[in-house]
Amino acid sequence: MNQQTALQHDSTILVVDDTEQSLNMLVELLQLEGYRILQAQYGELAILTAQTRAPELILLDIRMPGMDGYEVCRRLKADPVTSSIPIIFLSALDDTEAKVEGFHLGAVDYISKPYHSEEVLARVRTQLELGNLRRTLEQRVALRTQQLLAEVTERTQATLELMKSRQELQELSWHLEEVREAERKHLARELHDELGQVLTVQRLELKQLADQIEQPPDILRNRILGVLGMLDKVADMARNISESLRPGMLDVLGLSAAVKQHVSKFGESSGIQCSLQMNRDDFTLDSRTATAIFRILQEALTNVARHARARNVDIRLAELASELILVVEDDGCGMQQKQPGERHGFGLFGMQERVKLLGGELLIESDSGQGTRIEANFPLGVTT
Amino acid sequence: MADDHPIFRAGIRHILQPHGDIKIAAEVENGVDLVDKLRSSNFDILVLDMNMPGRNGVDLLRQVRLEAPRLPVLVLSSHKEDLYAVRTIKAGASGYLCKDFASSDLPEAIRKIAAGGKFITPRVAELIAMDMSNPVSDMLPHTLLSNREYQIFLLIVQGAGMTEIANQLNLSVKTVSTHKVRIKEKMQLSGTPDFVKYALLHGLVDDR
Repeated sequence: MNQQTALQHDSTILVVDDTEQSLNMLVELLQLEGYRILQAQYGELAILTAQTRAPELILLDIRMPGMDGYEVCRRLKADPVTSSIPIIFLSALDDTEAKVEGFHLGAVDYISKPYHSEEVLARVRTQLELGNLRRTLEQRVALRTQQLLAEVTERTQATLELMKSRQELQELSWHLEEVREAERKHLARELHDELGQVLTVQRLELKQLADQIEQPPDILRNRILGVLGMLDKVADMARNISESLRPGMLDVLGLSAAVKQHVSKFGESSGIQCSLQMNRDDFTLDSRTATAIFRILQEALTNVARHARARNVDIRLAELASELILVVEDDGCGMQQKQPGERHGFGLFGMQERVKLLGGELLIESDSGQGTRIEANFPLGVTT
Repeated sequence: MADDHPIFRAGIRHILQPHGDIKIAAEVENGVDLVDKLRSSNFDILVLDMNMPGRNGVDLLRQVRLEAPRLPVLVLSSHKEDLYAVRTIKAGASGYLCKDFASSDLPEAIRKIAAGGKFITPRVAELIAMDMSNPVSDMLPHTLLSNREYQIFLLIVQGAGMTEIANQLNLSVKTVSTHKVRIKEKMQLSGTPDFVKYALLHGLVDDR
């Protein structure tokens, strides 16, 4: 009740009626209830007052000379400043069509003349309360909208930053990968070419020397041949170290040759029966992609040798319409049989990273006791 | 003679010195100079180190073949593995010699190749023959399918519809369709009739 009283006292109502008698009657009635009253006797003044004084409710007579109530209503609703002020139409016209027209224009209620004081007051009170509720609600909605907007902005910002840092991380991995590969290539070349060449030449020299010594006893010749044998071993060692750093075949003969060589060596050293199938003699790839694919195969086979306890492994490398696909499938113990708590090793993580960097996908199928199947596919023509 | 290591070129000169019938007409140390030389002069044989800075490997050999299709090439390389020999000879070289055996075999290899012959070890010849009889196109694309994909492939071939397969394998129809798309990509086939033909051709299902 208190609230209602306070509300009444605070509320300003604009009463618009061209008949002075009728106007005065309404003004008096409402003032007695404690409302603040603004009044206007014709349309233009009503609009001006509504715009400048912002009443909370307008009682609007329909029949007026010049601009009638409908027109006033239309203009008030068209102006964003006044469009939300509720309007109650007043008229002697007690026909349904007039009422419908009024509601159609946006009026909230309709009071027929002659007035009954109680009816007028009741309708006015209802509309003011509704208006007040609406305003409170709008304020709350506005406030919540603002909060939500702030939250959304914050989240979007966070997501953007996360994406950015992910991208940076990925670029960094690429960079690291390239630096590492370049370093290996350099070392391998130094070992293979520089050291290897010197050894080869020394070997040639010694061989010729040995051939020139013919007189018996050929102790000297045998000793030189012994040194030659050792030199051969050193040269092979240098070659092996070089090869393990960076497969020279990848640079000289390309991916398919390097894969073939690696698989055959892997088969010999691990004792696992390897079957390799490729659908190209030569894959047309840039060196970055070729290197990455080679490294993935290498890691996959290392995993097989370390963890799978496999007897056979199938390796397939195929170029399809718009992708390259690598499949490594073993008949080992599968991944579920690993020790509890043991996670996929770094090998698998490394493979995943490499595949991701090339914009590809790594799929792993592994059932306990059924072996493991790794499939990596890379879109072609995407990387540079 | 094309080799980027001066010390090795000196070694070769030394080896060839006693052989009066062989003369080193020019020496280059990278691919670009090599191509220039081939354009300006004529030679009876090229002794080529494939591992030089810049353009290298089989690529370089192919370019040489384009520039001088009739010039016989002996590839001299520090790599021992037979695969190098197989690949270089397939790419058009007339012979392959590992540098380790240069002192004993180089003069003979040069003579043989200059006379229009080949210099190939029996082992490499055997490998090349094996390579020829086992062409890469023999790879069967259904071996690229995962277990699940192969299972779905067989069901499709046996005439099962998407919904039927989905129910049988306890998957959604959408998942089954995704698998089918992937099967088509991997096998490079366009649809169910092709699946059936493929399966019958390779005996993957009973011919009923």
